[in-house]
Amino acid sequence: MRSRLLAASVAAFCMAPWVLFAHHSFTAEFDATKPVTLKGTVTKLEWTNPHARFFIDVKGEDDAVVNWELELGSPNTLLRYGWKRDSIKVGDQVIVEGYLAKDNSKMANARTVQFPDGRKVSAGSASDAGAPGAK
Amino acid sequence: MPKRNKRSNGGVPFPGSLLRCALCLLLCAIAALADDSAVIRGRLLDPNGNAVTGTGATVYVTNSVGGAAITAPVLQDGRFSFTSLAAGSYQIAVPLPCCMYTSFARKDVVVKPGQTLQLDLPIAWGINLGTIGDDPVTLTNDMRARAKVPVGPAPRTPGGKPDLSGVWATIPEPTVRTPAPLQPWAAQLARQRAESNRKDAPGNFCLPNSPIQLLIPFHYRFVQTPALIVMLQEFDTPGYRQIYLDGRGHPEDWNPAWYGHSIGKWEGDTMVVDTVGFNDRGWLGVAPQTEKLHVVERIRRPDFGHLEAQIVAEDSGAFTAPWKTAIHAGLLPDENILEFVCENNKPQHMVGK
Repeated sequence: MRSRLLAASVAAFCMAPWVLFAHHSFTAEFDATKPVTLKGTVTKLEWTNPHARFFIDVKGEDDAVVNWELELGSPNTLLRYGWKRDSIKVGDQVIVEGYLAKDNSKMANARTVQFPDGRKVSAGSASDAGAPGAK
Repeated sequence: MPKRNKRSNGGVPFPGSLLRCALCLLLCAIAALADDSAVIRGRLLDPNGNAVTGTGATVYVTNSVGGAAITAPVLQDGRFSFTSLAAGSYQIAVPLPCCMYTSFARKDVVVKPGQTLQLDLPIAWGINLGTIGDDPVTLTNDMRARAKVPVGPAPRTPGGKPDLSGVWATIPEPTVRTPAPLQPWAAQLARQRAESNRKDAPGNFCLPNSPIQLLIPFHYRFVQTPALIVMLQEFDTPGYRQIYLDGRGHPEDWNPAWYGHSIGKWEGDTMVVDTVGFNDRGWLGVAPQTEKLHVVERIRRPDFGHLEAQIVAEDSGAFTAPWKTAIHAGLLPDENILEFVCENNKPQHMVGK
Protein backbone atom coordinates (compact mmCIF):
# COMPACT_ATOMS: atom_id res chain seq x y z
CA MET A 1 0.00 0.00 0.00
CA ARG A 2 2.72 2.35 1.04
CA SER A 3 4.79 1.64 -2.04
CA ARG A 4 1.76 2.07 -4.28
CA LEU A 5 1.09 5.38 -2.64
CA LEU A 6 4.69 6.41 -3.06
CA ALA A 7 4.74 5.34 -6.70
CA ALA A 8 1.48 7.15 -7.35
CA SER A 9 2.77 10.24 -5.61
CA VAL A 10 6.01 10.21 -7.56
CA ALA A 11 4.07 9.78 -10.78
CA ALA A 12 1.74 12.60 -9.82
CA PHE A 13 4.67 14.81 -9.03
CA CYS A 14 6.29 14.07 -12.34
CA MET A 15 3.15 14.80 -14.29
CA ALA A 16 1.82 17.75 -12.41
CA PRO A 17 2.93 21.19 -13.49
CA TRP A 18 2.94 22.19 -9.86
CA VAL A 19 5.64 23.94 -8.10
CA LEU A 20 4.86 26.18 -5.24
CA PHE A 21 7.01 28.97 -6.32
CA ALA A 22 6.16 31.03 -9.36
CA HIS A 23 9.68 31.56 -10.58
CA HIS A 24 10.25 33.68 -13.66
CA SER A 25 9.39 31.36 -16.48
CA PHE A 26 11.93 31.35 -19.27
CA THR A 27 9.68 28.92 -21.09
CA ALA A 28 7.18 31.76 -21.46
CA GLU A 29 9.84 33.89 -23.09
CA PHE A 30 12.15 31.55 -24.97
CA ASP A 31 11.55 28.56 -27.21
CA ALA A 32 13.25 25.36 -26.08
CA THR A 33 12.89 23.97 -29.62
CA LYS A 34 14.91 26.82 -31.13
CA PRO A 35 18.48 26.65 -29.93
CA VAL A 36 20.84 29.28 -31.23
CA THR A 37 24.58 29.85 -31.20
CA LEU A 38 25.73 33.44 -31.48
CA LYS A 39 29.28 34.70 -31.88
CA GLY A 40 29.92 38.35 -31.33
CA THR A 41 31.39 41.27 -29.43
CA VAL A 42 29.96 42.47 -26.14
CA THR A 43 28.55 45.99 -26.44
CA LYS A 44 26.70 46.55 -23.15
CA LEU A 45 25.91 45.01 -19.77
CA GLU A 46 22.91 45.48 -17.55
CA TRP A 47 23.67 44.30 -14.03
CA THR A 48 20.03 44.54 -12.95
CA ASN A 49 17.54 42.41 -11.03
CA PRO A 50 15.94 40.05 -11.49
CA HIS A 51 18.07 39.28 -14.54
CA ALA A 52 21.45 40.46 -15.66
CA ARG A 53 21.69 40.99 -19.38
CA PHE A 54 24.44 41.54 -21.90
CA PHE A 55 24.31 42.60 -25.50
CA ILE A 56 26.50 41.48 -28.37
CA ASP A 57 27.02 42.63 -31.94
CA VAL A 58 26.76 39.68 -34.29
CA LYS A 59 27.91 39.97 -37.87
CA GLY A 60 25.73 38.09 -40.33
CA GLU A 61 26.74 36.46 -43.60
CA ASP A 62 25.86 39.68 -45.42
CA ASP A 63 28.18 41.61 -43.08
CA ALA A 64 25.20 43.30 -41.50
CA VAL A 65 25.65 43.68 -37.76
CA VAL A 66 22.75 42.84 -35.49
CA ASN A 67 22.71 43.57 -31.77
CA TRP A 68 21.41 40.67 -29.65
CA GLU A 69 20.22 40.78 -26.05
CA LEU A 70 21.19 37.83 -23.86
CA GLU A 71 19.60 37.07 -20.53
CA LEU A 72 21.27 35.64 -17.43
CA GLY A 73 20.11 34.91 -13.88
CA SER A 74 20.00 37.49 -11.13
CA PRO A 75 23.14 39.45 -10.21
CA ASN A 76 22.84 38.19 -6.63
CA THR A 77 22.90 34.56 -7.75
CA LEU A 78 25.69 35.18 -10.24
CA LEU A 79 27.68 36.91 -7.50
CA ARG A 80 27.37 33.86 -5.28
CA TYR A 81 28.60 31.71 -8.14
CA GLY A 82 31.72 33.87 -8.21
CA TRP A 83 30.78 36.28 -10.98
CA LYS A 84 31.68 39.92 -10.83
CA ARG A 85 30.10 42.71 -12.76
CA ASP A 86 33.12 42.79 -15.06
CA SER A 87 33.16 39.05 -15.61
CA ILE A 88 31.88 39.88 -19.04
CA LYS A 89 33.28 43.14 -20.37
CA VAL A 90 32.44 45.38 -23.26
CA GLY A 91 34.66 44.30 -26.12
CA ASP A 92 34.87 40.64 -25.11
CA GLN A 93 34.51 38.20 -27.98
CA VAL A 94 32.09 35.52 -26.87
CA ILE A 95 30.20 32.56 -28.22
CA VAL A 96 26.82 32.14 -26.59
CA GLU A 97 24.46 29.20 -26.73
CA GLY A 98 20.85 29.75 -25.82
CA TYR A 99 17.26 29.57 -26.99
CA LEU A 100 15.56 32.14 -29.19
CA ALA A 101 12.84 34.46 -27.94
CA LYS A 102 9.31 33.39 -28.79
CA ASP A 103 8.35 36.88 -29.91
CA ASN A 104 11.06 36.82 -32.60
CA SER A 105 12.94 39.73 -31.07
CA LYS A 106 16.71 39.57 -31.14
CA MET A 107 16.91 37.96 -27.74
CA ALA A 108 18.02 34.66 -26.27
CA ASN A 109 18.78 33.25 -22.87
CA ALA A 110 22.41 32.38 -22.20
CA ARG A 111 22.95 28.77 -21.20
CA THR A 112 26.63 28.67 -22.11
CA VAL A 113 29.12 31.47 -22.68
CA GLN A 114 32.52 30.71 -24.18
CA PHE A 115 35.36 33.17 -23.86
CA PRO A 116 38.29 33.63 -26.28
CA ASP A 117 40.64 31.67 -24.03
CA GLY A 118 38.32 28.68 -24.28
CA ARG A 119 36.72 28.95 -20.87
CA LYS A 120 33.10 27.91 -21.13
CA VAL A 121 30.59 28.80 -18.45
CA SER A 122 27.33 26.95 -18.19
CA ALA A 123 24.38 26.54 -15.90
CA GLY A 124 24.56 24.14 -13.04
CA SER A 125 26.11 23.77 -9.67
CA ALA A 126 28.78 26.30 -8.69
CA SER A 127 31.03 23.40 -7.85
CA ASP A 128 31.30 22.33 -11.46
CA ALA A 129 30.11 25.22 -13.60
CA GLY A 130 31.85 27.99 -11.78
CA ALA A 131 32.24 31.57 -12.78
CA PRO A 132 34.07 33.07 -15.71
CA GLY A 133 37.09 33.59 -13.51
CA ALA A 134 36.93 30.25 -11.74
CA LYS A 135 39.56 27.62 -12.30
CA MET B 1 39.54 -38.16 -5.53
CA PRO B 2 38.91 -40.72 -2.77
CA LYS B 3 42.54 -40.53 -1.85
CA ARG B 4 42.45 -36.80 -1.59
CA ASN B 5 39.26 -36.97 0.41
CA LYS B 6 40.79 -39.47 2.68
CA ARG B 7 43.91 -37.42 3.10
CA SER B 8 42.13 -34.23 3.78
CA ASN B 9 39.63 -35.67 6.16
CA GLY B 10 41.57 -37.92 8.45
CA GLY B 11 40.44 -41.17 6.82
CA VAL B 12 36.72 -40.49 6.99
CA PRO B 13 35.97 -39.97 3.32
CA PHE B 14 32.20 -39.88 3.20
CA PRO B 15 31.47 -37.07 5.64
CA GLY B 16 34.25 -35.02 4.03
CA SER B 17 32.75 -35.40 0.60
CA LEU B 18 29.39 -34.45 1.91
CA LEU B 19 30.77 -31.36 3.56
CA ARG B 20 32.70 -30.38 0.47
CA CYS B 21 29.69 -31.00 -1.69
CA ALA B 22 27.49 -28.90 0.57
CA LEU B 23 30.06 -26.16 0.55
CA CYS B 24 30.26 -26.35 -3.19
CA LEU B 25 26.50 -26.13 -3.50
CA LEU B 26 26.43 -23.17 -1.17
CA LEU B 27 29.12 -21.39 -3.15
CA CYS B 28 27.30 -22.19 -6.36
CA ALA B 29 24.08 -20.84 -4.91
CA ILE B 30 25.83 -17.66 -3.81
CA ALA B 31 27.46 -17.37 -7.20
CA ALA B 32 24.13 -17.96 -8.90
CA LEU B 33 22.53 -15.30 -6.76
CA ALA B 34 25.34 -12.93 -7.51
CA ASP B 35 25.05 -13.67 -11.20
CA ASP B 36 21.31 -13.11 -11.22
CA SER B 37 21.32 -9.79 -9.51
CA ALA B 38 21.25 -6.92 -11.93
CA VAL B 39 22.75 -3.47 -11.73
CA ILE B 40 21.45 -0.17 -13.09
CA ARG B 41 23.86 2.69 -12.92
CA GLY B 42 24.40 5.90 -14.78
CA ARG B 43 24.38 9.64 -14.64
CA LEU B 44 21.87 12.43 -14.94
CA LEU B 45 22.85 14.56 -17.92
CA ASP B 46 21.51 17.99 -18.83
CA PRO B 47 20.94 19.13 -22.43
CA ASN B 48 24.40 20.74 -22.43
CA GLY B 49 25.80 17.24 -21.85
CA ASN B 50 26.94 18.13 -18.34
CA ALA B 51 26.23 16.06 -15.27
CA VAL B 52 23.27 17.26 -13.25
CA THR B 53 24.80 18.06 -9.92
CA GLY B 54 23.87 19.75 -6.72
CA THR B 55 20.22 18.78 -6.80
CA GLY B 56 20.24 16.46 -3.81
CA ALA B 57 17.81 14.36 -5.82
CA THR B 58 16.81 10.74 -5.37
CA VAL B 59 16.26 8.11 -8.07
CA TYR B 60 13.29 5.79 -7.57
CA VAL B 61 13.02 2.42 -9.31
CA THR B 62 9.88 0.35 -9.02
CA ASN B 63 9.52 -3.18 -10.38
CA SER B 64 6.65 -3.30 -12.87
CA VAL B 65 5.16 -6.33 -11.12
CA GLY B 66 4.84 -4.34 -7.93
CA GLY B 67 6.71 -4.04 -4.72
CA ALA B 68 8.25 -1.15 -2.92
CA ALA B 69 10.16 1.55 -4.73
CA ILE B 70 13.90 1.28 -4.24
CA THR B 71 15.82 4.50 -3.93
CA ALA B 72 19.34 5.66 -4.60
CA PRO B 73 20.77 9.12 -4.06
CA VAL B 74 22.11 11.17 -6.93
CA LEU B 75 25.69 11.85 -5.93
CA GLN B 76 27.45 15.17 -6.21
CA ASP B 77 28.85 14.21 -9.62
CA GLY B 78 25.42 13.27 -10.97
CA ARG B 79 25.91 9.52 -10.68
CA PHE B 80 23.51 6.98 -9.24
CA SER B 81 23.71 3.24 -8.81
CA PHE B 82 21.37 0.38 -7.98
CA THR B 83 22.97 -2.94 -7.24
CA SER B 84 21.42 -6.29 -6.36
CA LEU B 85 18.27 -5.65 -8.34
CA ALA B 86 16.15 -8.60 -9.36
CA ALA B 87 15.99 -9.00 -13.13
CA GLY B 88 12.83 -7.52 -14.57
CA SER B 89 11.14 -4.44 -15.88
CA TYR B 90 11.34 -1.23 -13.90
CA GLN B 91 9.93 2.25 -13.80
CA ILE B 92 12.48 4.92 -13.07
CA ALA B 93 11.54 8.30 -11.65
CA VAL B 94 13.66 11.24 -10.59
CA PRO B 95 11.60 14.03 -9.05
CA LEU B 96 13.50 17.28 -9.42
CA PRO B 97 12.64 20.60 -7.82
CA CYS B 98 11.89 23.77 -9.71
CA CYS B 99 13.44 25.46 -11.68
CA MET B 100 16.50 24.23 -13.52
CA TYR B 101 15.38 20.75 -14.45
CA THR B 102 12.26 18.78 -15.27
CA SER B 103 11.42 15.69 -13.29
CA PHE B 104 12.29 12.48 -15.12
CA ALA B 105 10.17 9.37 -15.55
CA ARG B 106 10.60 6.32 -17.79
CA LYS B 107 8.75 3.02 -17.90
CA ASP B 108 9.80 -0.40 -19.08
CA VAL B 109 13.49 -0.31 -18.31
CA VAL B 110 14.43 -3.99 -18.59
CA VAL B 111 17.42 -5.59 -16.90
CA LYS B 112 18.36 -9.22 -17.45
CA PRO B 113 19.82 -11.55 -14.84
CA GLY B 114 23.39 -10.58 -14.11
CA GLN B 115 23.28 -7.57 -16.41
CA THR B 116 24.89 -4.25 -15.60
CA LEU B 117 22.82 -1.66 -17.38
CA GLN B 118 24.57 1.62 -17.99
CA LEU B 119 21.76 4.12 -18.22
CA ASP B 120 22.39 7.84 -18.50
CA LEU B 121 19.17 9.75 -17.95
CA PRO B 122 18.58 12.77 -20.19
CA ILE B 123 17.20 15.50 -17.96
CA ALA B 124 15.28 18.23 -19.75
CA TRP B 125 15.48 21.82 -18.68
CA GLY B 126 12.86 23.12 -16.35
CA ILE B 127 11.24 26.50 -16.64
CA ASN B 128 14.53 28.40 -16.61
CA LEU B 129 15.83 26.66 -19.76
CA GLY B 130 19.31 26.26 -18.40
CA THR B 131 19.93 29.96 -18.01
CA ILE B 132 23.23 30.63 -16.29
CA GLY B 133 22.84 31.80 -12.71
CA ASP B 134 19.12 31.29 -12.52
CA ASP B 135 18.62 28.25 -10.36
CA PRO B 136 17.71 28.94 -6.75
CA VAL B 137 17.86 25.24 -5.94
CA THR B 138 21.43 24.45 -6.92
CA LEU B 139 22.50 27.75 -5.41
CA THR B 140 20.82 26.94 -2.12
CA ASN B 141 22.31 23.46 -2.06
CA ASP B 142 25.75 24.88 -2.83
CA MET B 143 25.48 27.47 -0.09
CA ARG B 144 24.33 24.85 2.40
CA ALA B 145 27.16 22.51 1.39
CA ARG B 146 29.78 25.15 2.15
CA ALA B 147 28.11 26.56 5.28
CA LYS B 148 29.94 25.93 8.54
CA VAL B 149 27.03 25.40 10.88
CA PRO B 150 27.67 25.09 14.62
CA VAL B 151 26.13 22.08 16.30
CA GLY B 152 24.10 22.53 19.44
CA PRO B 153 20.77 23.53 20.84
CA ALA B 154 18.79 26.46 19.54
CA PRO B 155 19.87 29.74 21.10
CA ARG B 156 17.40 31.44 23.40
CA THR B 157 16.51 35.03 24.04
CA PRO B 158 17.00 36.62 27.48
CA GLY B 159 13.28 35.99 27.95
CA GLY B 160 13.84 32.26 27.44
CA LYS B 161 12.18 31.90 24.06
CA PRO B 162 13.93 30.25 21.13
CA ASP B 163 15.68 32.82 18.97
CA LEU B 164 14.79 32.33 15.32
CA SER B 165 17.20 35.05 14.19
CA GLY B 166 19.62 34.19 11.42
CA VAL B 167 19.93 33.70 7.68
CA TRP B 168 18.03 30.62 6.61
CA ALA B 169 17.46 28.83 3.33
CA THR B 170 14.39 26.73 2.73
CA ILE B 171 15.79 23.38 1.71
CA PRO B 172 14.65 22.38 -1.78
CA GLU B 173 12.72 19.17 -1.46
CA PRO B 174 12.42 17.24 -4.70
CA THR B 175 9.80 15.13 -3.06
CA VAL B 176 6.11 14.92 -3.17
CA ARG B 177 4.32 18.07 -2.19
CA THR B 178 0.63 17.51 -2.69
CA PRO B 179 -0.98 20.46 -4.44
CA ALA B 180 -3.74 22.39 -2.76
CA PRO B 181 -7.18 20.81 -3.29
CA LEU B 182 -8.78 23.30 -5.62
CA GLN B 183 -12.37 24.14 -6.46
CA PRO B 184 -13.20 23.55 -10.15
CA TRP B 185 -12.81 27.19 -11.18
CA ALA B 186 -9.47 27.41 -9.41
CA ALA B 187 -8.24 24.12 -10.87
CA GLN B 188 -9.17 25.31 -14.36
CA LEU B 189 -7.32 28.58 -13.85
CA ALA B 190 -4.29 26.75 -12.45
CA ARG B 191 -4.23 24.56 -15.58
CA GLN B 192 -4.41 27.59 -17.85
CA ARG B 193 -1.59 29.25 -15.96
CA ALA B 194 0.58 26.17 -16.24
CA GLU B 195 -0.22 25.73 -19.93
CA SER B 196 0.76 29.31 -20.66
CA ASN B 197 4.08 28.77 -18.90
CA ARG B 198 3.10 31.20 -16.12
CA LYS B 199 3.50 34.17 -18.37
CA ASP B 200 1.20 36.24 -16.15
CA ALA B 201 2.83 35.26 -12.86
CA PRO B 202 3.20 38.23 -10.52
CA GLY B 203 6.97 37.77 -10.35
CA ASN B 204 7.21 38.48 -14.07
CA PHE B 205 5.93 41.97 -13.29
CA CYS B 206 8.27 42.41 -10.31
CA LEU B 207 5.44 41.65 -7.90
CA PRO B 208 5.66 39.15 -5.01
CA ASN B 209 6.41 35.56 -5.99
CA SER B 210 4.42 33.80 -3.29
CA PRO B 211 1.93 34.66 -0.54
CA ILE B 212 3.80 32.16 1.65
CA GLN B 213 7.35 33.40 1.72
CA LEU B 214 8.73 30.33 3.46
CA LEU B 215 7.91 28.25 0.39
CA ILE B 216 10.35 30.16 -1.79
CA PRO B 217 13.44 27.95 -2.02
CA PHE B 218 15.86 30.79 -1.41
CA HIS B 219 17.33 32.49 1.60
CA TYR B 220 15.97 34.98 4.08
CA ARG B 221 16.80 36.47 7.43
CA PHE B 222 14.69 36.38 10.54
CA VAL B 223 15.29 39.28 12.90
CA GLN B 224 13.55 38.54 16.17
CA THR B 225 12.75 41.06 18.88
CA PRO B 226 10.34 40.53 21.79
CA ALA B 227 7.53 42.37 20.01
CA LEU B 228 8.27 41.81 16.33
CA ILE B 229 9.81 39.34 13.94
CA VAL B 230 10.99 40.72 10.61
CA MET B 231 11.60 38.43 7.68
CA LEU B 232 13.90 39.74 4.96
CA GLN B 233 13.53 37.63 1.83
CA GLU B 234 16.20 38.12 -0.82
CA PHE B 235 14.25 36.79 -3.74
CA ASP B 236 11.16 38.88 -3.64
CA THR B 237 9.86 42.39 -3.94
CA PRO B 238 9.35 44.12 -1.51
CA GLY B 239 10.99 41.25 0.33
CA TYR B 240 10.22 42.24 3.91
CA ARG B 241 7.50 40.84 6.10
CA GLN B 242 6.53 41.78 9.65
CA ILE B 243 5.07 39.45 12.27
CA TYR B 244 3.69 41.28 15.30
CA LEU B 245 4.23 39.60 18.69
CA ASP B 246 2.90 42.41 20.85
CA GLY B 247 -0.49 40.86 21.43
CA ARG B 248 -2.41 42.85 18.88
CA GLY B 249 -5.09 41.14 16.82
CA HIS B 250 -5.78 41.43 13.13
CA PRO B 251 -7.21 44.83 12.20
CA GLU B 252 -10.91 45.14 11.53
CA ASP B 253 -10.39 47.42 8.60
CA TRP B 254 -7.52 46.27 6.47
CA ASN B 255 -6.65 46.79 2.86
CA PRO B 256 -5.89 43.39 1.35
CA ALA B 257 -2.16 43.01 0.75
CA TRP B 258 0.31 40.72 -0.97
CA TYR B 259 1.84 39.40 2.25
CA GLY B 260 -1.29 39.87 4.37
CA HIS B 261 -1.25 40.79 8.06
CA SER B 262 0.70 38.51 10.39
CA ILE B 263 0.49 38.13 14.15
CA GLY B 264 2.48 35.60 16.14
CA LYS B 265 2.51 34.05 19.58
CA TRP B 266 4.58 31.45 21.35
CA GLU B 267 3.09 28.07 22.13
CA GLY B 268 5.90 26.53 24.14
CA ASP B 269 8.89 26.62 21.81
CA THR B 270 6.77 26.98 18.69
CA MET B 271 6.11 30.34 17.07
CA VAL B 272 2.57 30.25 15.70
CA VAL B 273 2.01 32.85 13.00
CA ASP B 274 -1.49 33.63 11.85
CA THR B 275 -1.87 35.55 8.61
CA VAL B 276 -5.01 36.94 6.98
CA GLY B 277 -5.71 39.99 4.87
CA PHE B 278 -4.22 38.72 1.63
CA ASN B 279 -5.24 40.18 -1.69
CA ASP B 280 -6.57 37.94 -4.45
CA ARG B 281 -3.70 38.60 -6.83
CA GLY B 282 -1.04 36.31 -5.43
CA TRP B 283 -0.17 32.93 -6.95
CA LEU B 284 0.45 29.87 -4.86
CA GLY B 285 2.52 28.14 -7.49
CA VAL B 286 -0.08 28.33 -10.22
CA ALA B 287 -3.06 28.12 -7.88
CA PRO B 288 -5.19 31.20 -7.42
CA GLN B 289 -6.10 32.61 -4.04
CA THR B 290 -8.91 34.79 -2.78
CA GLU B 291 -9.11 37.35 -0.01
CA LYS B 292 -10.33 34.51 2.22
CA LEU B 293 -6.86 32.96 2.29
CA HIS B 294 -5.80 32.22 5.87
CA VAL B 295 -2.34 30.83 6.60
CA VAL B 296 -1.03 29.41 9.87
CA GLU B 297 2.68 28.71 10.14
CA ARG B 298 4.00 26.81 13.15
CA ILE B 299 7.73 27.57 13.20
CA ARG B 300 10.31 25.78 15.35
CA ARG B 301 14.06 25.86 15.66
CA PRO B 302 14.75 22.30 16.82
CA ASP B 303 18.49 22.88 17.07
CA PHE B 304 21.06 25.51 16.22
CA GLY B 305 21.27 24.78 12.52
CA HIS B 306 17.69 23.95 11.59
CA LEU B 307 14.33 25.58 11.25
CA GLU B 308 11.08 23.86 10.38
CA ALA B 309 7.55 25.00 9.78
CA GLN B 310 4.22 23.26 9.51
CA ILE B 311 2.00 25.29 7.21
CA VAL B 312 -1.77 25.12 6.89
CA ALA B 313 -3.50 27.27 4.29
CA GLU B 314 -7.25 27.59 4.04
CA ASP B 315 -9.16 29.45 1.37
CA SER B 316 -12.87 28.75 1.23
CA GLY B 317 -13.02 30.81 -1.96
CA ALA B 318 -10.56 28.65 -3.91
CA PHE B 319 -9.77 25.42 -2.00
CA THR B 320 -12.03 22.52 -1.18
CA ALA B 321 -10.15 21.69 2.03
CA PRO B 322 -7.28 23.04 4.07
CA TRP B 323 -3.94 22.51 2.42
CA LYS B 324 -1.13 21.29 4.63
CA THR B 325 2.54 21.29 3.90
CA ALA B 326 5.86 21.73 5.65
CA ILE B 327 9.28 23.21 5.05
CA HIS B 328 12.69 22.59 6.48
CA ALA B 329 15.37 25.24 6.44
CA GLY B 330 19.07 25.25 7.12
CA LEU B 331 21.13 28.00 8.75
CA LEU B 332 23.60 29.90 6.57
CA PRO B 333 25.74 31.61 9.23
CA ASP B 334 28.04 33.45 6.84
CA GLU B 335 25.52 34.68 4.31
CA ASN B 336 23.96 38.10 4.05
CA ILE B 337 20.78 39.29 2.45
CA LEU B 338 21.61 41.36 -0.59
CA GLU B 339 19.53 44.10 -2.13
CA PHE B 340 16.99 42.84 -4.60
CA VAL B 341 15.13 45.59 -6.38
CA CYS B 342 13.24 43.98 -9.22
CA GLU B 343 13.40 46.48 -12.03
CA ASN B 344 13.98 44.76 -15.29
CA ASN B 345 11.90 41.67 -15.95
CA LYS B 346 10.61 42.74 -19.38
CA PRO B 347 7.22 41.01 -19.25
CA GLN B 348 6.43 42.31 -22.72
CA HIS B 349 8.46 39.38 -24.04
CA MET B 350 6.45 36.80 -22.09
CA VAL B 351 4.59 35.15 -24.94
CA GLY B 352 3.45 32.12 -23.01
CA LYS B 353 2.95 28.89 -24.94
